[in-house]
Amino acid sequence: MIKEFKFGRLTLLACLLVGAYCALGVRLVDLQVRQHEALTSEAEDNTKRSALREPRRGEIRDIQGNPMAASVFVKTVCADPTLIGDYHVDTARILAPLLQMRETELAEKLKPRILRYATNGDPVFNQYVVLKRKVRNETWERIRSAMTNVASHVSVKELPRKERRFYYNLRHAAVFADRREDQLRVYPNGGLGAHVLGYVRTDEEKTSLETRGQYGVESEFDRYLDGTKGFREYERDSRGRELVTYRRADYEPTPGMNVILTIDSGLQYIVETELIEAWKKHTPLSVSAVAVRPRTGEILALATLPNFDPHHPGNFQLDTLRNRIVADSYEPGSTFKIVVVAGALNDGTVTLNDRFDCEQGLFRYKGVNLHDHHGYGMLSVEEIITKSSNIGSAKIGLKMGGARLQKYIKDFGFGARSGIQLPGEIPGIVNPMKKWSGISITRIPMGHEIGVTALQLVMAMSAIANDGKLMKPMLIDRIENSEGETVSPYFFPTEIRQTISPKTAKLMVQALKTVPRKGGTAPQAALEHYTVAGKTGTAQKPVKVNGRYRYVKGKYFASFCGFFPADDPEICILVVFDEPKNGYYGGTVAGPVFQRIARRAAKYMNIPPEPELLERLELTRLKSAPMTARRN
Amino acid sequence: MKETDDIPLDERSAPAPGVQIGTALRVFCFCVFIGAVSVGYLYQKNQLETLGREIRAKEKELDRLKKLNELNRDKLARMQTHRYLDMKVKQLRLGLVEPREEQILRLEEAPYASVPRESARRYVRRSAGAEVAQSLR
Repeated sequence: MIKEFKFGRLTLLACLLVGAYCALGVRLVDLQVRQHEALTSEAEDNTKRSALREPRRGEIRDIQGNPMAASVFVKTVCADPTLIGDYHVDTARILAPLLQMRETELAEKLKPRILRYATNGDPVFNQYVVLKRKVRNETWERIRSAMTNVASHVSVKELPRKERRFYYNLRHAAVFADRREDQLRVYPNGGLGAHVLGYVRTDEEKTSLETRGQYGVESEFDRYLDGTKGFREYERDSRGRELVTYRRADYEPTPGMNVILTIDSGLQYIVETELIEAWKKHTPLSVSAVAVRPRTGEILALATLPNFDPHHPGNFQLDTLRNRIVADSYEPGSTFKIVVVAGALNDGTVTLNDRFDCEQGLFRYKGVNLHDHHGYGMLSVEEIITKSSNIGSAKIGLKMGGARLQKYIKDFGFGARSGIQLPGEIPGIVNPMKKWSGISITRIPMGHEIGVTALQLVMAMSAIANDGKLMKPMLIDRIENSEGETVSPYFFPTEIRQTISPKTAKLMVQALKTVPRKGGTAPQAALEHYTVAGKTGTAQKPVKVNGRYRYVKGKYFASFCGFFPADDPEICILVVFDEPKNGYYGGTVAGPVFQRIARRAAKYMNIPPEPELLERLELTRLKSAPMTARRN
Repeated sequence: MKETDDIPLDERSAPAPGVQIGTALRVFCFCVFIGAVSVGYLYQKNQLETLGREIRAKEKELDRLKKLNELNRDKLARMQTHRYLDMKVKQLRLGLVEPREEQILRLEEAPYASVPRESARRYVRRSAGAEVAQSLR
């Protein structure tokens, strides 16, 4: 009896077990085979994560290695209004001073809002609101700690579980940082060299926030500065923590490369501070200056006022963002006389001692009058440069002929882009000879009927300073990787062409030395310890009147372009004013600015004074010093 | 069958006298082995988990230090700018002015080394007051 009972029970138990195992087996097959695809992806969604790893954007540095643009990682502070509920005003009060935003604006953003209604009629609330972008990490840490104090009067321990959870979320999850890494471009010098550096923009992509260069070197060298993204695939636990053991792929991002400019931030600062002073005095529409090392074509400083703050380019008018030195052309006026005189000397058409009749300041050619600022009689070619005679240069042009003049205009780099590594460069305006009018041959030599950029002009003057060799302007010295190793060996001084012979260049220097002297047009550009060679320019500005361009009195371009030490030039500087007030002659407006920049630059660059000038100055000082002082 | 029925119930439930020690030892060793492997596996898993957490913590610390480094580098760059230095000189009323030319003493030992114009080594870069002549690359 017992045996039968035991057997029956065992059979029943066995059947139950087999049944249970079969049911489990069926379920297993259902889960592992039938629903495999769906469940796998669901499981992966729950645990697997992949994250892009942003590379740090490369730095832009000056020639001395000082950073002019650098990047720091920042946060995008976001909020989930559904977790904030009725505490949006309190939260706004806490966050407003930290985010430097208005409390009302923040409270409005934090208010829960219905986005739409789902198909079942339930409201769908907005769970993602960007409060502020580009928040520094230290500020984010302060926000996090401040958020733990929201509704601090509420004692959570005594509340039911659901409410406890609400307060936990309010304090720890309602305000969060976007997972996509963002970068803030920092320009330690503020607006210094803004037109060279440019600025960046952040584009919002689905998986990342892209920092893209918009102007200047930031835009031109974006591909180098950008770096390569890395990524990581990992699994996380139920609390969302990364399980390092299950990290599948982990690729480090490659930081962007550093772009080293030829710009010297010290010299750039000197140039910009002097331009600001000049701006205060002459309140022009714009004032620009470029400093170049003639031997190599390295651009040491490049500045235009008005400028902008690259941190907030949107706060400035579009006009101020334009780099006028490469993107604007203007009639250069008398500074252009260097081309015609250099060409004529090079061809042997004239010598420095050849004399021309300057018609006492009024020359009638093909029925059109040409004036000089002062009436001159017979002037040598050197004196034509010294006095900046329009009639004299027109007559040299006539003697030289249009074709040769056109050749030298092109040879000096006018009418073509210089190839500087900056966006937006224009070639200027050089009309072909067939478009010349009858009087063009007398107007072009004095810098009219032609459009040049400031950069072209300073490079042409540098060619004269450099024994007639026209160099390609060089703005980038090298590109380095994040370890500081040079990776681009192709930035080096490049000679474009020999425009004039070294002998002619020396003759030109001899003539140009007379300009900043007594009797020249720019005595105010002279330096105590260095011989300066240069040329002034004062050009009337064509203004559109009744649909036609006319030269208007009171609107001028005033410029001075010079280099020093004249016989062994270290630096060539151009200063251009657009519509200066309180004076308009290049010699009186731009000359003094050149002098101040040059004096400070010489000390900064440690250019030793010319021994003869130094001795002469010391002698003069000794002679003028009182006898008692000398005895002492 | 008959013989079996004759054996008293106590004797039937008693352990068989012929338990083989060797077999028992083998089973015991097998169990110990299984146990040891399991414990080892768990220990390794635990170690992996602990090391993973440590790696994560170290990565976070490295990240924090990198960010701190960035912050300090940013601060240093700002403090080295000419604008900031000029402002500080004015603020602290240091009365610094540019030296006059006659106040500058130039040493004979380091004359102005202008690079010869005809030389291939023409590319001159000034670095921290010193001149470095580089060959054309």
